[in-house]
Amino acid sequence: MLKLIKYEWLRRWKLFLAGIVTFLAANMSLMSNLMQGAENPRTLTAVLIGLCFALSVVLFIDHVGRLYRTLFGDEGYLELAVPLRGYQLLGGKLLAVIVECIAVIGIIILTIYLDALFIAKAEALPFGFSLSFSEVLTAGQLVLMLLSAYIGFLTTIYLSMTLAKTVFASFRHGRLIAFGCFLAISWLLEKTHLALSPFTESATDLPDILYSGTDWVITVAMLLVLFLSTSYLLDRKINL
Amino acid sequence: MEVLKVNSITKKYLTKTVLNNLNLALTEGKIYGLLGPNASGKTTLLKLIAGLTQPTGGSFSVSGKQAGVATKNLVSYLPTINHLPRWMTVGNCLSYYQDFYRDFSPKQAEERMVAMGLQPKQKISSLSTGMLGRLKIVLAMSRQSKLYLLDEPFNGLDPISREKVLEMILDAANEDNAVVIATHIIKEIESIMDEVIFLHEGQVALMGNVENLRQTRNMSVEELYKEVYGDA
Repeated sequence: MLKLIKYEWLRRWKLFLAGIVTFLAANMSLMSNLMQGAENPRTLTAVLIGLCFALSVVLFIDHVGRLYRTLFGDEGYLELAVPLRGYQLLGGKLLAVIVECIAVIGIIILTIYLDALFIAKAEALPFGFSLSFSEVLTAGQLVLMLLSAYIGFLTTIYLSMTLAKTVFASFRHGRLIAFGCFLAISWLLEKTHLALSPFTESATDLPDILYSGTDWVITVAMLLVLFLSTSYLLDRKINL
Repeated sequence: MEVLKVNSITKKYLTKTVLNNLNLALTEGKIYGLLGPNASGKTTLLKLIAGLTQPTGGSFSVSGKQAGVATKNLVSYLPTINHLPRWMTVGNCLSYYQDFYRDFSPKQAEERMVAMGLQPKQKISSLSTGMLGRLKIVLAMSRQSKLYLLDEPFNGLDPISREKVLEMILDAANEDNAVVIATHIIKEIESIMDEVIFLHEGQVALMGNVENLRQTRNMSVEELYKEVYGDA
């Protein structure tokens, strides 16, 4: 499984490097403009946010493309012929995605934190810049929530793509049917989560939108179901 | 000893039947030619044994092991398409095989690479069809597998490359393994084939020892091919 990750990263380390360098360069440019007393830093901030968004979209497309290339491209003849079980193949891909997401979030948080510290120091603000432990904990929970939602979404896409190359492989419009399955699975997961958990859809304040223990149990169970069903299909039903 | 045993395998795609209740038994120490016209089921059969597609019915075993990860460990498959990622270098491909196949011999692969005129730093995207064909065969034949499945290994190769590929197949074939070559270019492999399997409409139309068939029918394999598929 770890060997698969090695090749996932060997393939795209240049893409990651380019993304990180672009982000840091844009951030440095914003900071230096701020320090020089730019009158309207909003434009620059918007550019930076836009850049972050664009890089996230590129990363998301790349994440989806990883299994797509295996299932619908010629590379599947290499990857699916190796003596690995379905869960190892899928696990390798998802683990790589999780590590990348954590690294991206880490870099963004660290950059924002350093920026804030720098501004506070340079402007000699009368108040110090600090975060309480509970605030850090809340932020951590929020990040974990977003990460689990993203992995759930990605695994749903992976399951739908796998369905197209397994159960619906013989059908003329297999991919279209698989897309219908994606919509149906997403709807089912959302309804199940809402029916089983006390999580309120209308919640907007921080303490209310954080997952409770029950929410986490349901989320982990759903991720497991998605992971195991996709692994099983990759292992036993694949039709290239 | 039997390397491959195929029991009543059927493969259907909705209304189309590609393999129809096919039975086959291959033994060690032989090179098999898998022959047949387009859409006779050759590629599907090889993909099935390599674990890349699943049968609708029936089963198969390799060296007594049922289809799954265990058989993937024993089977070395060379697809007709380019399955090597374009971003990789020749060196990356070698490392990939070394990482995933315990029976891969990097030393042997390096020697063969040199003989084939391949450099580790060459990118897959920059290789010509001939060089890519050479690399694919180096990778497939540098595993110490029980069963080699080669799907159209001579596709797009010039005569010199074909000769080198033939040499490598002969070098890898021994008493402990079996080699299956699916091809249209019968002349190329006629001299090295021990047995021939003619597939027709998803079934074995004819199978036998090449030498026996030549003697009993008094014709070459190519002539026999024309006789079997005369109206196909």
